[in-house]
Amino acid sequence: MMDALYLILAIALPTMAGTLFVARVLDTGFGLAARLSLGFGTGMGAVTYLFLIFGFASVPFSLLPFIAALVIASGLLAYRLKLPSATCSSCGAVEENSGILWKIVSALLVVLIAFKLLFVFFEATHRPVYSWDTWTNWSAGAKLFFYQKGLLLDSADEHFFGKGYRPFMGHPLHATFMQVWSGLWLGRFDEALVKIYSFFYFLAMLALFYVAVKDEAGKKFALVGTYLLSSIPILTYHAQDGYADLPLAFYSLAAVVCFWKFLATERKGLLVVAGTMLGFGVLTKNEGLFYIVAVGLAFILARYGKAQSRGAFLRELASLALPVIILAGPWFVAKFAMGLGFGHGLGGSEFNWLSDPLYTEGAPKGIHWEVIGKSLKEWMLTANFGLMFPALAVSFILGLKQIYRSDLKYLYIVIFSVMAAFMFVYLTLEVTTVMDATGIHRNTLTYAPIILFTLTLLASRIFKRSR
Amino acid sequence: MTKSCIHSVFAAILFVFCVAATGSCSDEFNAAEIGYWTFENAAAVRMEKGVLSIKGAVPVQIISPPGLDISPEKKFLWLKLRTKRDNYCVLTFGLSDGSVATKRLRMKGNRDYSEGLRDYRVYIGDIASKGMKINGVALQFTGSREIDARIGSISFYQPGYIQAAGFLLAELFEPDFIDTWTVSFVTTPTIANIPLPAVIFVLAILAVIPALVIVRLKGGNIKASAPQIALAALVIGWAVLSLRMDYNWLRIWGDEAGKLYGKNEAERIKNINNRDMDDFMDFIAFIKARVPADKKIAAGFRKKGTPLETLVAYYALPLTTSGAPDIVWVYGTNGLEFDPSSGTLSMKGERLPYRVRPYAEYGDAAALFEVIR
Repeated sequence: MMDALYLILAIALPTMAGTLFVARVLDTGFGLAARLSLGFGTGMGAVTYLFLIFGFASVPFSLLPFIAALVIASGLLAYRLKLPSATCSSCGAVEENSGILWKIVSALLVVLIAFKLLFVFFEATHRPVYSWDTWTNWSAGAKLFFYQKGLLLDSADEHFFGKGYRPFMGHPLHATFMQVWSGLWLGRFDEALVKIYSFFYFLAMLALFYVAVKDEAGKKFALVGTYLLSSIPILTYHAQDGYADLPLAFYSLAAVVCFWKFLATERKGLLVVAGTMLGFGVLTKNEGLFYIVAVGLAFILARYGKAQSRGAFLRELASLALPVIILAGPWFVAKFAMGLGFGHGLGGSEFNWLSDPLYTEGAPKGIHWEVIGKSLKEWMLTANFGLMFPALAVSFILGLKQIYRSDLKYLYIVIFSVMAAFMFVYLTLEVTTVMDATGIHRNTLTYAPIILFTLTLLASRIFKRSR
Repeated sequence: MTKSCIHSVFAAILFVFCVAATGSCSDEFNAAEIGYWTFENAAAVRMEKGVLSIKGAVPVQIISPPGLDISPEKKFLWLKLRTKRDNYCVLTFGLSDGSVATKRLRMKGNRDYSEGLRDYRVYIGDIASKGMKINGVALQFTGSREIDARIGSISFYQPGYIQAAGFLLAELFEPDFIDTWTVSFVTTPTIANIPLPAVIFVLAILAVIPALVIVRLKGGNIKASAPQIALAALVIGWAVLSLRMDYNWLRIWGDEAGKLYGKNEAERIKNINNRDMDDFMDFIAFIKARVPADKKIAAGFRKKGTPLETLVAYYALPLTTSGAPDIVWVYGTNGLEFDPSSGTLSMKGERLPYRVRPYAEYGDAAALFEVIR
């Protein structure tokens, strides 16, 4: 019972601070559920940032400084805050007539989503950490930092910055810190409960997705889309283990949703939140960089020459870029200063261009074109993402005109940019990750919610249910 | 008269069904026959009440003798087996043209074997073309360090249509389980080895045609309706696939509730691992109980990053591992040699770089040694 209370506080306190930040930055554009979801992501990201600050300042990890920082931040954010309307005034929610058939279907979908949430919650709270990569990439470092009460930054220490427990020193630490965070509240490193954050990222993602789609395309598309999102098989498993792909999926979806809302409303606060989410994405996984490039590219294509003036464009760009620089910048400075690198795989923190030692040791260097066919097979013929990729292909062809004529093309630019970035990595660096399917679906998971969001919006246009 | 006619019709239908439902023939190898096959990495093989019990270290292999000469008309491999843990079995078929074909089987374990043997029917109708023969089969068990399996029989089986449909339906609804690979990819349900997403996609596209015909008959605009119908068909298909995957989680939840609910952490760690971790987790608890918190530990004769080293490093925390340890742990003492006079500890030609003395013994297969400074 006390564990439950502590874990509620572990989630509620950062969520409160994050929600106040979102309320401070966004004067309109989202309802309460979306603000809470974004607030949760912002708050948990802020906790990671605090871990880095306290860690590098050699402040021993304990609850007090974190609670103090979050409460002070909340107080400052709440000061003279005009609470915005909980309802979304700018959203073009569609009026819908619902027949009895839809009422039955919607009730069934709600039950299925609830079933998924309950199942994930049970597994997240009862099943100890179980996947090898969770142990090695995230949990071992978390457990070490938890017991050592710090980041072990004495360069003479054989476990400097988790060395010996963190095989990839350049990996960002969000998932690791989330586990330390739960551990600090519980007063012990509970093998199951330390990964509770995954469940809340899952919940926040579903809520944000539902609200974002409902505001534009109505409840029917929102509910069907949310069910399909909740039922993405690999996502369901990631929501119960202590991994980093689901948090990155949340941050990238949140960034894209805010960017999408900005295109409709041109409110710069949305770009600040989008940039904040992109910044936290980089603190979650190195792949977060792909989303900065993709959203940045889509933003420039959407706004360059279309903003009221060059100055206005630059102010918008700064709104998007500054949070990224503020959040991710210090981490990258530390990475370069400490020589932590970016690499992954057998080569440790070094890149092995054109030769994946796990795939073809000793073979001549070259681009592995075979990953394209294998990727298509994995996307189209496996159940990891349901029918998402066949639906993406078919709907793209059917809706090409709507995509080209609307702002939806910018969402497709994000999707295809990220896919191209991953494909570049597969072709030149991480061949094994595709050929034995150990990484491709995890990578895809990080942009799958964006695909589904875009698909749902396109479908609503094809069915002429939204603007 | 009418009554007897009805009875006759029913009898005829029943006869047809029975014939169709019965496999026309099979090549079956019972446990006693399999006992004469070749076993690799099996530490113990014995017969118990008509069931072959096999224990060994991964990868345990059972290889049939060559020349089985099985007709490709036998569309299913029917296995009656059970493993203690959730495991995988790679089935390799040697064909008469010298080629090989493989199938991968996920096997639901039962820790105390109380559920008895399980029937697995693997569709093999796609491995050999007409005129070819299946010369042999090998079963390779993998997925956990120790393999503990029981086999009742292996049959190459040619079912009737209805029975085959039943087999395919069972294949489609074969429940999944969570393991270390699940975060990387999930098991895709199949029908006769064809991925369900592909089947549903084709059906969804085919369903568009009659829908468009109906639209045309009702005087609607086909061009305007086609994208909506195609998209609706895909979403419905996607939902059907999602329901099939939901069924997985319902089964997994039902299975795991008993394994996890109300159990302490150590029990849950043991229960969820498809590695056989029971003794190993007890050994880690032994280390934590015996080694003072200020001492550092290291694995003897296991490289950094190997599975057991990693697991001890993780679970033994707050005891930390070190390159300059106070205590060395050795799990699996087969081949271990200790020279008390010099304090040297060696195993299979490898020697520890520091002098040690015995610190504590864990049963007869694991021990702790204290480094002499």
